[in-house]
Amino acid sequence: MKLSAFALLPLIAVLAVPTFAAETADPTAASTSAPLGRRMRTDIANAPAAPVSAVARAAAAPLPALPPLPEGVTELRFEDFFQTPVGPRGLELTAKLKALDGKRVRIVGHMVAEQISDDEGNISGLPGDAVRNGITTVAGRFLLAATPQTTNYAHYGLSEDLPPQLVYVTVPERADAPVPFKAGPLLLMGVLSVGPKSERDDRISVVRIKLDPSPAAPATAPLPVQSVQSNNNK
Amino acid sequence: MKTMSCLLVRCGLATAALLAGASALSAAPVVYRLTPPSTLFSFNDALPPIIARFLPGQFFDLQCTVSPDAGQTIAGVQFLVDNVAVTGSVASTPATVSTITNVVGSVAINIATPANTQVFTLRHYATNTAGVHTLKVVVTQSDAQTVNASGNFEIQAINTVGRRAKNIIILIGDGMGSSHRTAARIMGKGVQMGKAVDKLAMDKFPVTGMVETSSLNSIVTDSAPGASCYSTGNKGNNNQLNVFPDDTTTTFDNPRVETIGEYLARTGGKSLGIITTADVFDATPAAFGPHTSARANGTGICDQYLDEIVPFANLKVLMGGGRKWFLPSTTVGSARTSGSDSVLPAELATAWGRPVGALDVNRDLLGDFQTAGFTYAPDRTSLNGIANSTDKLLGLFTFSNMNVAKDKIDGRRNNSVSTLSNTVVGAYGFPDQPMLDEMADKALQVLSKNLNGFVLMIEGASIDKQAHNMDTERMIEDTIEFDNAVERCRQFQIANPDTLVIITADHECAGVAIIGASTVTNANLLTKTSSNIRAVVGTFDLAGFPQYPLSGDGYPTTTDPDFKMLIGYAANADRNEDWLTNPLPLRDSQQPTSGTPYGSIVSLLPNLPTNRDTTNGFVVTGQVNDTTAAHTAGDIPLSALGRGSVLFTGYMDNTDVFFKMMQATLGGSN
Repeated sequence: MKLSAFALLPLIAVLAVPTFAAETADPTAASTSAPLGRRMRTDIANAPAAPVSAVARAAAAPLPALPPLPEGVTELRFEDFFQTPVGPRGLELTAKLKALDGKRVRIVGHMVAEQISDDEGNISGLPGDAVRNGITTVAGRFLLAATPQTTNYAHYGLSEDLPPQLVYVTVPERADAPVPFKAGPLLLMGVLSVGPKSERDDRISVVRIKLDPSPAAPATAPLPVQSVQSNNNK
Repeated sequence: MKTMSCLLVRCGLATAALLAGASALSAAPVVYRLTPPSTLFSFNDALPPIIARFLPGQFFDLQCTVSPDAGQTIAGVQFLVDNVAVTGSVASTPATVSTITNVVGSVAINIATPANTQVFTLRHYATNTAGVHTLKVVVTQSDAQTVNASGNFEIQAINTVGRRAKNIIILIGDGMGSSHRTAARIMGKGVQMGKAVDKLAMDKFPVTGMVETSSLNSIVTDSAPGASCYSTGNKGNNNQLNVFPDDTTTTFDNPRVETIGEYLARTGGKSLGIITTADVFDATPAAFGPHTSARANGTGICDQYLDEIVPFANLKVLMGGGRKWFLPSTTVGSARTSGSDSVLPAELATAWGRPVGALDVNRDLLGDFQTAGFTYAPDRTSLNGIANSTDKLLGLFTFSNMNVAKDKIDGRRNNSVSTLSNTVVGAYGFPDQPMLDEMADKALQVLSKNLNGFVLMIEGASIDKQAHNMDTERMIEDTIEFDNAVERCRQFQIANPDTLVIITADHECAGVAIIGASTVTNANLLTKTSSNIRAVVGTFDLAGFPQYPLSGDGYPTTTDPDFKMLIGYAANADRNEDWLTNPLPLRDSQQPTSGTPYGSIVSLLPNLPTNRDTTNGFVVTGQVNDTTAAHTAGDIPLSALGRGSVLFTGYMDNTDVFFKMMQATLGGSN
């Protein structure tokens, strides 16, 4: 099976995730230099302004360089999807996302590894349009998330732990065939549509991208499906 | 007509001797399962322990799985208790599992489910007669052959011996073993010259016990049966909530057991409260409410809270994360799906008097709760502002699990508009989340209105979740947060002596061990690399007494002091370790990332322990073939305080906790 045939632009280099030293200690902390010294309780109420945290430094980290943005295309990031702080009920789309409805966008993300276990525990990638273990699987689409994710429908059905900011990516050129899994960051370009929509696999998609027709894509052997990874702690 | 023991039939079908010896033996229906589970049925062993135990009058379902001979059908099934026929209708449904359990020589094996295998259920049975009872099922095949099988169960007597507990508070530190508690004491209270500077609130409880945590199908439980046993007094299979296993793939039809909330609401008019730092659909909170064999059924579990647990268990307080299940699927962020929704079989609904339910992904469950009279609090500010008259309270503070204590506290310490973007809670979009002790205060305020008393379950969920992640400092600070909730309950008990307070866990998580302490200052630790960082581990004398300065909020000013405490994990998955506090938590993929400018933080959260500490950490090869650490089977500590607490001393099975609580509230104690 060959990967390509859809507008999956060449995989970019693995995104560099910065690592950080531990957070700077609270300046109000009592001395800790002596291992046997009795501790002193301190109150942070009068503490000076907190130092810039590692979290803030992470936020400021630049994205790796991407190819030049084609004309008429807008860069879209997962953090552009929803407003914060979240209100008392549901998530609300940002003005930027709504303004891009129907327009061409570019986004970097990771294809979700969708899996199904059979009764013997063997794991396979998501097949094409079919019903297996009560799950309707749909050809010609995949899911894109900000970080690598794996979901196994035999374990969780649609009660998986995929994030709400998920892009439902349709691949017109593979409308009748499953999209093979590809690990690593992907740079995608296509037409954006937003708003709740019922999909054939019972999902309610909110953010969708219909991929552009593929340029001459390289014939690439599909990578094996990753092993099961889940954040569903027991 | 032939009648034979079920055990003989089940073993005979799978053993060469019987297959070769008597073709007549195979010409009979086979009983593959008899529920409630028993060693009498499974292994022909009538000796204690009796697996299934119930209170007098506690309702549960009877069930058997039967396979007829080829060309035959099952014409009749009769359940008998102590040889007296049980009245009530018996419903049948095809066994839909692909394999079924058979027992050969006391060893359970799986075989392909024979054709036409049926599951027969008699719902909503109860008896008031204490003692061990024999449960027999007599099965008649269409050719008039019969077979019977026997099991047993016990009705646990309640003795009237003293003053009864009006209120029960059970605090579950999910995954909290003894080392989690010790680590919280070292970090939160300190140890000097071999003695704790102060005690944790849970250390102040006068009675201590040890709890064995095995589930029905494994020595290592998950949270579903691990907590359900406290709610029903009975073991379940892993992943299953307040039900016994069956042989259908449908997940809302399993044999039910009445829960502590349902029983005490029905018999004593008590109220129920459930609060957690997890998503409210998670296994531990759900163990005190809904019934299902699949803990992942978020839509149905949350629907059952309103449709069944509010009217039949008098649920008055439900707080935690998990808003995504309460929003119609057309609302952005909703996780409601038909595949995880609840529809009960009509015969179950009729027998238990419960609504059937519906596949209603567009249901506005949040609105329905409000219509039912619940005050809704979406954040800490609104929680603090609830009226004193509030008598029903729903708090849904995040879309999935709440953020952990360290990140909530870090958020509060940077809590201004200008610095919100520096915080994890800000990045997740929920900067105003309550701490568990604040939730406990409000729950106690609301529940106290019921003069008949209440049952309140309080879960510190991310002690477990951060132990899974092997995120040491977040795990310990969540234990401190949990202990703060314990202290609120301790104070409530002092003011309300007819209250029983229990602290325990559902299992240990990650094989946590305090291996010693760093032998270097933090500044020195920051200079270490993967080649020499393991050399800082001080064991025995070199561990000394790590000291963590505290802030006025009760949490450490830094979790990276000089000579800090070091934790090892026996049930570990692969991870990198640099001994430093992880500046960012592992990503909770169920949480929404948020809009700019905060969301760019979340996209950088590491996904797995192997994506963390990659610069200077050393690789710790996991013994567990998974991406996160696992639960262990070690016993867990239990502490008790107040009316009936004396019952909780010594070793106990996890199901004993239920019966001790019920003895305390129904019969009292000296």
